[in-house]
Amino acid sequence: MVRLLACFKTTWNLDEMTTDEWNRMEDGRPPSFMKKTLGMYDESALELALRISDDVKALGGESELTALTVDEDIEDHIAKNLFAIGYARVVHAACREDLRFRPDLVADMICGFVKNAERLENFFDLILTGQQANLGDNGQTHLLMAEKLGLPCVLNVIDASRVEGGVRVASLVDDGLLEQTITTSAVLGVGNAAHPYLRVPTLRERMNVSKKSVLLVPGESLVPPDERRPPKVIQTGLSLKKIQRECRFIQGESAEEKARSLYDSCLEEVLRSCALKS
Amino acid sequence: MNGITKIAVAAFASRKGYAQARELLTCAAHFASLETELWLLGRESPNENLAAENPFHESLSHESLSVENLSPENLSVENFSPENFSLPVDVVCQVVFEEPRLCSTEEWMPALMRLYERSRPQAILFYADLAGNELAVRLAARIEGSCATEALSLSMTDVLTVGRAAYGSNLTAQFDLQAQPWVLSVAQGAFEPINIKEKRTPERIVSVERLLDAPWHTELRLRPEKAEEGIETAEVVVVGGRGVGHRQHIEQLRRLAESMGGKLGGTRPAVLDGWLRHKDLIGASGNVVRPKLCLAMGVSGSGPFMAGVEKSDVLAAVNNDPDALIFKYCDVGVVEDCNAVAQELERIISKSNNSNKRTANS
Ligand SMILES: Cc1cc2nc3c(=O)[nH]c(=O)nc-3n(C[C@H](O)[C@H](O)[C@H](O)COP(=O)(O)OP(=O)(O)OC[C@H]3O[C@@H](n4cnc5c(N)ncnc54)[C@H](O)[C@@H]3O)c2cc1C
Repeated sequence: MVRLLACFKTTWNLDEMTTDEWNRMEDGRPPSFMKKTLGMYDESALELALRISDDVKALGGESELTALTVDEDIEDHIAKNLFAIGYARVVHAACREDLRFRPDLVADMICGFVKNAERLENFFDLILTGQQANLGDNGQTHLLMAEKLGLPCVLNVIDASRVEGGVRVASLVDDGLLEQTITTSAVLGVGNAAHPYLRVPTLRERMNVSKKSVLLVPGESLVPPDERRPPKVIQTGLSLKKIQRECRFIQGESAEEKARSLYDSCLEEVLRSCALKS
Repeated sequence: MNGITKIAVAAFASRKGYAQARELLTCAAHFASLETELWLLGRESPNENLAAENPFHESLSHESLSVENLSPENLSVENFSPENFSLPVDVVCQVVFEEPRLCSTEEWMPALMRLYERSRPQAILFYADLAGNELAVRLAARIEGSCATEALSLSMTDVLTVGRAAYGSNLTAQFDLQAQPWVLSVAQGAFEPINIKEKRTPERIVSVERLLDAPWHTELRLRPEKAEEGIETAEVVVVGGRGVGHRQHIEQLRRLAESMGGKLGGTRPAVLDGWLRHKDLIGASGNVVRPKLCLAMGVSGSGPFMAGVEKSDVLAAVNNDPDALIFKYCDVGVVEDCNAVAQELERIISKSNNSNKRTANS
C-alpha cells in the first residue's frame, strides 16, 4: 500500500483584488465578498498526488490518498470535491491562530499528524505540499517539515511518477531540470507543475461521496500547548508597495496607429540610447 | 547600528556564485561585523565548462583580488595569495569535494554544518536563488536560528528587522528575527553591489571532503536549462502573458524582442501553457529583470509578476482591457490587441534597423 499525504491551504486569489481594495484592506484580510480557493501550488500538489496514485494503481498496486489542511476552517465544497476526485480522507487540523507568517507552526502541526499516524503504523510514503502560498509567501513549510521529520525534500517539483523502485521526480534547480528516483519516504514541494490544475469530478463521482465528511483534528492534539515553541520570527509590519509610476495612455484609431505612436513617443528614444551604449 | 562579531557569506564556487558573493558582501556590510567569513562551496556545475571555469582544476594567472574583479580565476585554490586579496573578508573557507558528482542541494548540508560549527557566526547570508533559499531554511532549522528568505531590506537594533514581499508580492512585510544566529537569503538585486576598497589579508582554509552517498535517491540526471541568455542583464525585455493567446504569437514576440536587441520572457500562464520554458519565467518565482525598457504584452499586472519587472526604467504595457491592473503600474499604456501591436512594431523596428544598416554601410 502506497500512502500519500497532500497538504494544502485555501487562500484568496489576490490577482482579483483592485488597487482600491488593496488600499481599503484592514487587518490583512481581503474583502469579505472574496471567496477562498485552493492555493495555486497546493492545487498542483493535490493533483500530483492523484497522478502518482493513478500510476500505482496502473502498476497493479494499492494506494491511499489523504488531504490535510491546517486552518481555522475548510469550505465544505472544497472537501467534497477532494473526496469526489479520489481522496479517501480529508483532514482538517483546526487551528485558530494567525498562521500567515507561521510556517514553523504549520510544519509542526503537519509533523504532529504524521507522527500520530505512524503510531498507528500508517507510514506515509510521500508527503506533498505546494511550495509557496499567499498570504505569507513564506515558502518554508515543506522544508521545515522535512527537517523535523528527518526526510529528504525535493523542491520546485514539476512532475513525478511511480517507477520501479521508487518515484521519479523532476524538479527545477538553478542550473536546469533535475531528475532523480526517490527510493525512500520524502517530502515534495510542488512548484510550477506540468499539470497545475485539479481534475474535475463527474456528477456521479460527486454523488458517490455526498455522505463523506471531513475528519476534524484539534490542533492541540497535534502540537500540545506545552510543546509549542515561541516563534523565532515575528511579523511586525505590513505595508502596501508604493506605486512609483503614472501611466500615459497612447491614443490612436487603430493598432497600427497606436504602435507607431508608441514607437515614436517612447521606444525609439530608449532603443537609440541602448544602441549608442552598445 | 550596533555591529556583531562575526558574519558569514555563503556562495557556490561558480562564476554565478562569485557575482552573488559580491552582492552578499554589500549586504554583509550592513551588519558592521568585526569579522567576515566567505564560505565557498565548490560545485561542479554541469552547465559550465569545467576545464575553463572550475577554480579547483585550473592553474591561472595571479591577479589582485578586489570586489570588482571577483571571478573564479581569482579565487582559484592555486592562485590564492592573501597579500593580494582585497575583499572585505577575513577568512575564506572553501569546501571541495574529493570526487565531485551531481548532487542535490540537500547534500551540501553536512559540509555547511561543519562550516558553521567551526566558527559559529551570528549571521549567515545566502543568495536568494533556489539553492540559497533552501540552504538558508535548512541551516536555520538545524542550528536553531531564525530565518528570513528573500530579504529586501534590513535594519539592526537589538533584533534584526528584515523586510520582504508578502501577499503575492503585493505588500511588504517586516519581521523581527529574535534568536541568533540569523540566517538570511538576500533577494536578487536588493543591495546594489558597491566597490569595497578596504583591503584585508584573509586567513584561508580549504576543506577537502568526501561527498557521502545519499541513500534516498538514485539515477540523478540534470538537463541543463538556462534562462534566455542574459535576460537578467538585458536592456530590453519583452514579456508575453496569457493575453498573447497562442504559441505562434509568442514567436512573433520573440522576433520583436530580437529586432530590439532584447530578450523574451513570459508570465506563469505563458510558461505553464508550454509557450516558453520554465527558465524564462519573469516574476517573484522566476527572473527579476531590470532593463531600460520592459514591454509587457497581454499581461494583467499581478503582484508576483510585477515583482520581476518593477525595477525596469521604462515599463510599457499593451492590454486590450482598459481597466487592467498593469496600467496602474506602468509608464506607458496601450489599450489594444497586443498581437496586432506587436506585428506593427516589428515592422516599424525592422524597417528602422534596415535603414540604419544602409546608412552605416554607405
Ligand atoms: C506564490 C505565487 C508566485 C507566483 N509567481 C509568479 C511569477 O513569478 N510570475 C508570474 O508571471 N506569475 C506568478 N504567479 C501567478 C500570478 O499571480 C498571476 O496569476 C500571473 O502573473 C498572471 O499572468 P498573466 O498576466 O499572463 O495572465 P492573466 O492574469 O490571465 O492576464 C492576461 C491579461 O491579458 C489581457 N489580454 C487578453 N487578451 C488580450 C489581447 N488579445 N491583447 C492584449 N491583452 C489581452 C487580459 O485583459 C489580461 O489582463 C504567482 C502566484 C503565486 C500565488
